[in-house]
Amino acid sequence: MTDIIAASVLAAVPLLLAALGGIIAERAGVLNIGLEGMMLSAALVAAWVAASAATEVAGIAAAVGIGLVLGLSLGGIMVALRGDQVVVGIAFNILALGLTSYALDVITGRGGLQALSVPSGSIRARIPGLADIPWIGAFFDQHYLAYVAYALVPILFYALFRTGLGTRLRACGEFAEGARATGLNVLRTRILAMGASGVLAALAGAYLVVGDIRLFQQNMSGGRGYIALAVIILGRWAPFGSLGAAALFGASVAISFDVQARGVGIPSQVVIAMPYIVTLIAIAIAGKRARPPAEEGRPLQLSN
Amino acid sequence: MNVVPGSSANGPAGTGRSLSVKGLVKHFGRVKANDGIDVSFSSGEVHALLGENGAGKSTLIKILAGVYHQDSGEILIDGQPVRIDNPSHARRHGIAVVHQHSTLIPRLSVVENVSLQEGGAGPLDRTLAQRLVSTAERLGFELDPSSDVETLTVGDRQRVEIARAFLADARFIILDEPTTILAPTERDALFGLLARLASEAVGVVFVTHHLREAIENSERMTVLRRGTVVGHFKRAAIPSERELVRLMVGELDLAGRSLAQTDAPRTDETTTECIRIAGVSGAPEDGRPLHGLDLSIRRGEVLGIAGVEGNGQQELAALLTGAWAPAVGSIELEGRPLKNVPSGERIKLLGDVPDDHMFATADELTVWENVGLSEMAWWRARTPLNTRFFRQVARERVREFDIRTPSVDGLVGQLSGGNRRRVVIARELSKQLKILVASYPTKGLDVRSAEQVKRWTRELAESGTAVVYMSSELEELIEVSDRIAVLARGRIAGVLATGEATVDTIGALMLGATGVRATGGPEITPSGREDGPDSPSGQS
Repeated sequence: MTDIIAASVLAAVPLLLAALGGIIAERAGVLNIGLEGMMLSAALVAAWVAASAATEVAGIAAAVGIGLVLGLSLGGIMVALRGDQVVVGIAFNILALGLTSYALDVITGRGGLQALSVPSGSIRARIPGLADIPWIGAFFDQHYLAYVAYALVPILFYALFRTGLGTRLRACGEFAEGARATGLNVLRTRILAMGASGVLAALAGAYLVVGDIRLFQQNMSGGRGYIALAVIILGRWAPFGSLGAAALFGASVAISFDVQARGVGIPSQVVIAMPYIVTLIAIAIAGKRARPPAEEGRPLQLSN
Repeated sequence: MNVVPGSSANGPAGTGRSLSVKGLVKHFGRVKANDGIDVSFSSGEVHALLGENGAGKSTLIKILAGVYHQDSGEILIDGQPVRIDNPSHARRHGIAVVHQHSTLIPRLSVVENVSLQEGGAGPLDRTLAQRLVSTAERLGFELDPSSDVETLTVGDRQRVEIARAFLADARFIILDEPTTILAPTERDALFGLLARLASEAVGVVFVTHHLREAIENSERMTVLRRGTVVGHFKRAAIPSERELVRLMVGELDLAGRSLAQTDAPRTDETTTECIRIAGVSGAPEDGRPLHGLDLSIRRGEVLGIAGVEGNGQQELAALLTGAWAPAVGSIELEGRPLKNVPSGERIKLLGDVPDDHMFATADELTVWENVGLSEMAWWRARTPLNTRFFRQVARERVREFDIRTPSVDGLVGQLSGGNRRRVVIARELSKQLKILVASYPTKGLDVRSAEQVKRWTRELAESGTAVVYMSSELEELIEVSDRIAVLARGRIAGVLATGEATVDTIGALMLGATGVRATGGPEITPSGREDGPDSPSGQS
């Protein structure tokens, strides 16, 4: 059981981080399909820099930097240049997959796998006391980025719903024309929201590397960025909701691993497809009641 | 007493502060929306800005709000010229505008909406809700700061916007047509609130085209027509209502001109009835009520609809186009109840040129797609052959209707307003119409275009179509119509045939529309006033 919980957290943390990033963008009115590509790019950068600098922290910092740059640039294209948000996001994801695969070949060709391996070191940060509680102790014996993810849930909730900043952000995502009439700079707000979104997606990508296999692999995000979009919908664009949804998806991944390991007589392909099947079912169920921010995905068109 | 933000040295409010404009000019393309406007507003006073559609009221307000910037002329506060380049500038100068359509964010709560303006980026101010409630109390109404704006009525939203402006120490609160979206009871409440604001030393300006509203609720009144000020009155010196109507709709020199002088009668007894409306009462959603409306429109005639705007024109258009099916009364198209005509057939038979072209074109589609929109169907899929056909047809219509576009492949959204209207007219007039409903089709058009629209309308009628033509220009109505029906408070105040229709006779009926004449029909204000025997109170 402890194993399943540990595996659930491992699977849920990147989904949660990416989903929180997605929430920031979508609440401001931008549909950030590029979460997937941002995760993947950040994962590569995290591994590469961590390997080169021989410290994990440098890798994470570099990933955050690239996430910010990617978020702001994609935001610029989607918001300022009014590129179609879905098309730009998907095109970016395809580009990111191609570029990271190519970079993987080049870097491993030159320096071998070592060039993309995070140097060894303790990746667990046990919280004394809490980690010893049976079962749920597994939540407190994780990589420190997992605690960052836990903490971000209430922080983002507070920022979105209890501060002026969050209120402004939501105003831009609900009614751009009205937000502008009250004197807000909708364009700037949305681009900055995309920047923040990129940073969180990058943390998710970095976690894939440093929190788990400590190595970069081709397409290692494996569609998690897309699942994060489903997590957002299921969590109704709210941080705590997304925490629950991410936990559900994490658990479905962990259980499918467990089932595979026990060798139950189900074809392994079906088992591997579990998280995606759960996604489809969850969205189908939640779809009716889901009510996205009114301006989500709409290009910014203000009179004058 | 409130203190003006950023200029607290000026001391308490209400010490003769004024907001004025001098020689304000604003063009939109070739249309002069504001043509040298001079007007001055003072604090502590309710000032009505009166004028017909397109008189330039909204443009003036949008300039003061910082939404538009004037081509020339200046804005002065207490005699000092100020620059207003954007909405925040306006607010800094103490000018708050309540636009016709609410700018509140629907899915944020009332207090969150107010905090967008009041608060910083940090934690929300917990005292704001309380301050908002007490502001509302001071202004004489209640509000729940925690409810979501989307759950509020339009009247509540308006009050929230007013409270927000007052809380922000606005010195001048300007309301753009605040009553058009309100139910009659809410209108009374609004004017009570405006008077309250004035007593708090706020300068209140409201835009209206309802004469009575202006007369009853303002201390000062400015009448605009065609972008200029044509009259300016204090409460004590307001001229006769008839005079005001003439100022608003203009063409004083036309008095006495009759239909007989324009053309021979173009309909005769042999033409058959196209549309019959019998006893229609009630109101569409967000509309004003019609009361026992009877109207018959014959094939091949142009029936002009006169009346001060907001007396049932929109509702009549909705009725005729089938957008609204009334609960009381009937409407028949050549003997068939309109509601029994399938919508596919209706689209082919009923032409609609709405008064706002924004609702009538698909701006992201090309000119040829828009022109052919109503003829496209699944069996006319976008094969190269069909596309060629549609583009060819569109090219002809572009020529025929003089649409100024680089090519038929240009996006309609990139055309000017007048050309977009031409696209709509081209589309509607290419159908085999039984009836065309043209709502203010020449609004905002320059003289040449307006002449063309009138000519096309006549030609269409001569080909046997029944045309319902609404306009705020009496001269234009007399010129284009065979008969003119005057709408007043949701009723037909009279139908004038050839020879009877003059600016005077129409004006007299329109005066009834403003409710000035004691002999007018029952009031639509449901304030328990004595209604006539034919009162519509049965349907509440």
